[in-house]
Amino acid sequence: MDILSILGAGFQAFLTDPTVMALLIGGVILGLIFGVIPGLTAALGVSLILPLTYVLSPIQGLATLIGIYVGGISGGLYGAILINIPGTSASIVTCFDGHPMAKKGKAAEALSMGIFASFIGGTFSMFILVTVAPLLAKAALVFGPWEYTALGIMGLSVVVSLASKDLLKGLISAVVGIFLALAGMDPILGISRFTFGFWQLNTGFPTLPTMMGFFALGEMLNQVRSLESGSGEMQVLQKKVPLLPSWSNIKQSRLALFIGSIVGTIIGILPGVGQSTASMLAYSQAKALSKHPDEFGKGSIEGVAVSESANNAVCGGAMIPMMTLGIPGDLVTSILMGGLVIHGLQPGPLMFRLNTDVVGSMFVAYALSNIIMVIVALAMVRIFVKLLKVPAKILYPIILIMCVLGTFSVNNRVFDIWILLIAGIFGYLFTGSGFSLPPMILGYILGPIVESNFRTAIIASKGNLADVANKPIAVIILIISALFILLPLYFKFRRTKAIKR
Amino acid sequence: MMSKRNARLSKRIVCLAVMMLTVGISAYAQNFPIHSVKVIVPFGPGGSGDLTTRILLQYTNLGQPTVVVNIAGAGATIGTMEAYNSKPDGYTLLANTPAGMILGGFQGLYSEDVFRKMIPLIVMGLDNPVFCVSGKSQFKNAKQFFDYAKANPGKLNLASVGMSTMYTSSLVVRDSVGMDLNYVSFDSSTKSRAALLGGHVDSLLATISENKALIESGDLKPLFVLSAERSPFLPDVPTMIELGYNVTGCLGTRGIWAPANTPTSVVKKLESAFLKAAQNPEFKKVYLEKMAIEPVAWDSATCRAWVDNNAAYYKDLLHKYSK
Repeated sequence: MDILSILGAGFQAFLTDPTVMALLIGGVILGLIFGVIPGLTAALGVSLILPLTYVLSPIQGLATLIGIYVGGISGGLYGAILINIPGTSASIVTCFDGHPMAKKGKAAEALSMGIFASFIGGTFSMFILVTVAPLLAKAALVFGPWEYTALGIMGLSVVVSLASKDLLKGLISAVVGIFLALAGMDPILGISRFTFGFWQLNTGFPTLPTMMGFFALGEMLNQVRSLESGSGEMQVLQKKVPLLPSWSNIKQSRLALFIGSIVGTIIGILPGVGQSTASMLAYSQAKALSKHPDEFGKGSIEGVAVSESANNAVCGGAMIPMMTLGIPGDLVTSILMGGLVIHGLQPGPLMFRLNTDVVGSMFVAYALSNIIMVIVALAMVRIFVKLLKVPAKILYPIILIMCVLGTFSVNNRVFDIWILLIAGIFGYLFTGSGFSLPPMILGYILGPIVESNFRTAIIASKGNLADVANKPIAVIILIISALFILLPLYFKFRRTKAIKR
Repeated sequence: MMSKRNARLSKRIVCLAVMMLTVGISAYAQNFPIHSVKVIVPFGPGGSGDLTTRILLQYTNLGQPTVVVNIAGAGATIGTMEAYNSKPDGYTLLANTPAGMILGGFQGLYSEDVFRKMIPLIVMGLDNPVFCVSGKSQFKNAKQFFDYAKANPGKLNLASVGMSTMYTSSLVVRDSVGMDLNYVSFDSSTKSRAALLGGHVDSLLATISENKALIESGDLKPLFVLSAERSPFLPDVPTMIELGYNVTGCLGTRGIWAPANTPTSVVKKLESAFLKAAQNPEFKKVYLEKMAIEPVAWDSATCRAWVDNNAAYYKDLLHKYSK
């Protein structure tokens, strides 16, 4: 499996068939549009276009889908920064610092850093994908149920630093998130829980309507209150967005970019974790290691850099186990796998030997789509500046309609729209009573990961909890989690003691 | 006099109305389909359950377009219930696995009426389970594995997905061989496969289509398949029957259903259109060469008989092993 010959075969496929390039560009543009619009996600874009690619050649189809994937994950940052409504759940973390920056009049800086970070994250994971994919995919298999459990607990332990302002409310918020995720059929035995007699709730509170309800709808309701006062929320973007962030911004964020890229790639390789978790974990790491941790959450450029580099790095990471072992790393890659299977291509070690042109063109498509994404994303900024001049009373209803449409089209049922509306009202009341959403999201996303993996682990070790001691990686992760919980508390204790003196 | 005439008239009107209605209904059924037919796939897009259905529909000619609607969630329960509750006019169908439908009914996901009253139209493909160990495993063949498992009850782990068809298949194996395996349920088949490759479990029960590539590359070692005959995709792998155990297990059937009380003429039309598609050599070629699914064409009556026979078998098995 000579990597150069694989890449060569890929480039050849691109050069001999110009439609591949055209489809790739079209895919990125379509993906960005899906990403920008709240409620429409990369996964939805890929699954809607998938049936259309059956009639194309495998390389044409995969180029289109990979373009949509990269564009869709990148597009969420506009809404997150400009109106505090993430276009996709992958960009939720970008809201934390992107929107505060915009409020301070630094929207242009935040946008250009967001796009730059997306490119860096995507390119980093592409580099890993091309160079050490088969090796890394095998290495990732040491992660079993115990290791995933520990990883989930580490993610949850971040609550303590996320909720530094009010620990009690932060913990309550995280528990609410975990409870929300408990509803529905339990992941191991398939027994219904907390469905209150609605069989429709057997699938739980689905991610998209719940997230969009809390973030998009809840935020809209919040902002509607200040519509009349015309608080200038929408006139945030005065400056032109530069092609690259300023050198000082890049320098300040270099650690954040690095952390985001690495954490994103690793989380991508692990099956079934996904973008939101990656950016959340990377964010807390970056905060812990930053020279200015206090600025996080108040408009730190590092916060935007780490979130956007992490969610894009997941794409390349997630493609690694999908292509080398047939084990998709996230939701979108599992749909991408369908695009391979329908053409009779079985992802796995043999694909690298038998279908070098397909593997190579997937690599090339992924590399190129990162570059195309930057160009299209920068060009789109101008359109969004104009869109922001649309009065909120017109813009918000349109966003609401898109949320409803997107929610419906994911699973084709009206019940999800009700979940969207109820989650929106609940989110409005929740934030109104001083609870912050990040811990809730953390609990909602990580709770099920901890639950299903812990239960699998305990079944596999026949009820023996001490079995975890045989797993060094899990033990190390658990120790790190303990530090995540104890260190902030210790520092706080020292500070209050110092103040008392 | 007047009232008598009136009564007669109204009787005639009622008669006429009833006649027109029945004629209308049968004409309606006769002209079926007059618009597009919706097929609910209770799984997400891109997976085997989705692709197998879309391919069959490509070769199906009903005179009207067919539309696939993915309604996933809760192990196919959500989409199945949507179809069960929809109007029985033939315009909404369900593409769910017959074995999964039966087990869903027994395990309380929905009432048994769902698989007893809904009408199976066709089974067009078989994706049977294969029992694998890691390529690096000490076990060279099924006999070695069985002997070790019998000597060490409950020591070996068997990974698979959920508590439905794969769990029942594992019971078939346990019951017939008389060994005690520790069943470890994962929430997705990919995770169970990753767990075996990473050495976290000892064995894996999974579909042939999903694991063919890793078997060919040597990462997975197949010990036996659970089917009546050897799989065309794994010609060197014995069946349980060849090993001396007279069981076929939980056949991995792929089928399409119509809601209960769908008019017979509509059922006949759908059935013959699907059978024709499933017998098309081009369709068979796609299933064999691209999907690694065995193409078959069971008609409605064959499916019904299969469902009823297996329902009884599964019920006993589940009852025996329920705590």
